[in-house]
Amino acid sequence: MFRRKEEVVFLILFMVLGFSIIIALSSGVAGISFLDLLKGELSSIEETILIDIRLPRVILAGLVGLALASSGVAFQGLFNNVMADPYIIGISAGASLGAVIAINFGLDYYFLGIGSVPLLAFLGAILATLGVYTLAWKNGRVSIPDLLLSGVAISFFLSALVSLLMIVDTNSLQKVFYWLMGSLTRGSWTEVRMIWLPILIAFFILYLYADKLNIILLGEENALYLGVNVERVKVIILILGSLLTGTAVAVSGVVGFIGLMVPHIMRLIVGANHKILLPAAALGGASFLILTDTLARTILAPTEIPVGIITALCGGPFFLYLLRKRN
Amino acid sequence: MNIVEVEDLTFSYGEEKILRGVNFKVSKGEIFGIIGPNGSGKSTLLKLLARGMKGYKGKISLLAKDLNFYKQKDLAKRVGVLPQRTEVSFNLSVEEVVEMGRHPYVSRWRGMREEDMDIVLQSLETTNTLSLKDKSINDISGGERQRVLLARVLAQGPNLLLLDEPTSALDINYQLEIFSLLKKLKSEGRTIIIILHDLNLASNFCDRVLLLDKGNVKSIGEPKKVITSDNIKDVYGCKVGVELKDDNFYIVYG
Repeated sequence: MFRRKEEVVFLILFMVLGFSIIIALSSGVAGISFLDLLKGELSSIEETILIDIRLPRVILAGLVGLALASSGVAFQGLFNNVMADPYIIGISAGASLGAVIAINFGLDYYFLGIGSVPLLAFLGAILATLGVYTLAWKNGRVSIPDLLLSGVAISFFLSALVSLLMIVDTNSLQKVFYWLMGSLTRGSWTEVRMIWLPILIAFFILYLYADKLNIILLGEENALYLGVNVERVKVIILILGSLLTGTAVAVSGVVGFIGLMVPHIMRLIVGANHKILLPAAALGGASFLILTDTLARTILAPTEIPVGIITALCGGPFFLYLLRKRN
Repeated sequence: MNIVEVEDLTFSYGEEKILRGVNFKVSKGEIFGIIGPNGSGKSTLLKLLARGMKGYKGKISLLAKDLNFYKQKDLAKRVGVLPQRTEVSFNLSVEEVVEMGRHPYVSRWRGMREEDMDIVLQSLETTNTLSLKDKSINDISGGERQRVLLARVLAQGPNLLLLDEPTSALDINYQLEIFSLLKKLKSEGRTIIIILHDLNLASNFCDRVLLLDKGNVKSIGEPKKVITSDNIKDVYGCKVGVELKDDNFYIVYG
């Protein structure tokens, strides 16, 4: 199914992921190296740091990166639009509003072991998507331009509410700000347990729709003539993309840039065929967020920078480099 | 055998009537042209035949079966459609685009079989695009692109091809190339319904043509009986002469 060039690309991507994980596990204030772990020369405290603090965070970064990059690929394909990203239909604004409500009102409840911030963020994401979808629904079909436009409108509206809440209660500003910039500071095994299953299942189902996404790149009319049930495929991809993004945002806040740029970077390397692009972007997104999150927690240690700042700082120039090189 | 039968086809878009009681039949192996001025309903008629639009009144049968009774995939196996414009924002390769033609046949779990790949290669060969297969669909010329899109249609293995102005953006060389290809497809027993703006092309390559005038069938039959200076004056509102020399057809302006 894969051709030779693609086999090489995937081999490299897996190696990059492996290296990213090793670097992430070896970096940090505590000065533990991966080699020590392999040699078994770690004290029990060091082992705790590695297994209970760094490892869950690395896995979390990998899952969030995978989710954002693959839903970015799906939305760019579905909307046939190079500027689309996972947040385009209001998911980030909805999630932000949910999170800010939870933080500002000091809601400290747990539901099935899930904290109120991720829970309300996830609910906000899903409700915003549903709202956008409903607004774009007319005469039994969803028009893609309407979906984009109502996404922008809802995003602005909800973002205004977020700003309003931030101004009303300045006590939680820093907390809210970190969340809005995207940060994995709170990553622990609890978060990993929350998101690994929904993200992997949604990704797997999305992959089954790779050929349909390819055909939709030729336009809805052509897709219809090729026997694709376009309306059903649109709904399924929207649901899967929103689920991936909503789940990721719930634990990480709004990490920007990955969902827009990793798909483009991977498309420059492997092409636009979703059967190859989706898994490549998933691996690339995971590695990218693992590495940038490592920078975020070490570069100004012991202070942590929101990882969203790093992703944009690193990703922007790298993407421009690739773009110029291609031309 | 009639491949297409259209009876009393009427279609409105809002208040506006686009087609008013259209009747015609197309038999196997015909190249059937649809001509008429801009806005006369040509593209709408083709889209209705392809089931790209719904909500018509009247009856459309394809291969002796009511159009409404087809499953989407079964229709895609029998009818290949080339819309007027196909925009691709991302750089798919020519081969990837043509592979999509096999979509109605390929199961999600099994993927492309050897047989499907053979048909893809055959379609590339027939349209003389095999050498382009690894290029991006956006990096080739307009004529090449049109042939690639036609290859995708052929990969569907259709009995009936519905083509919306496939040659309108092409130079005369590419136009003739497309038409010699269409003649080859006709000789294989496929039926082709084609919208054309160029009346010379329509006259020289179509077995029969249908002249649409504001949603009505003005005339239908052999080109030399339909494309007359009287009909052109009535429908298009301009005066031209029509000449036949050695069985070739010329429109004379002025």
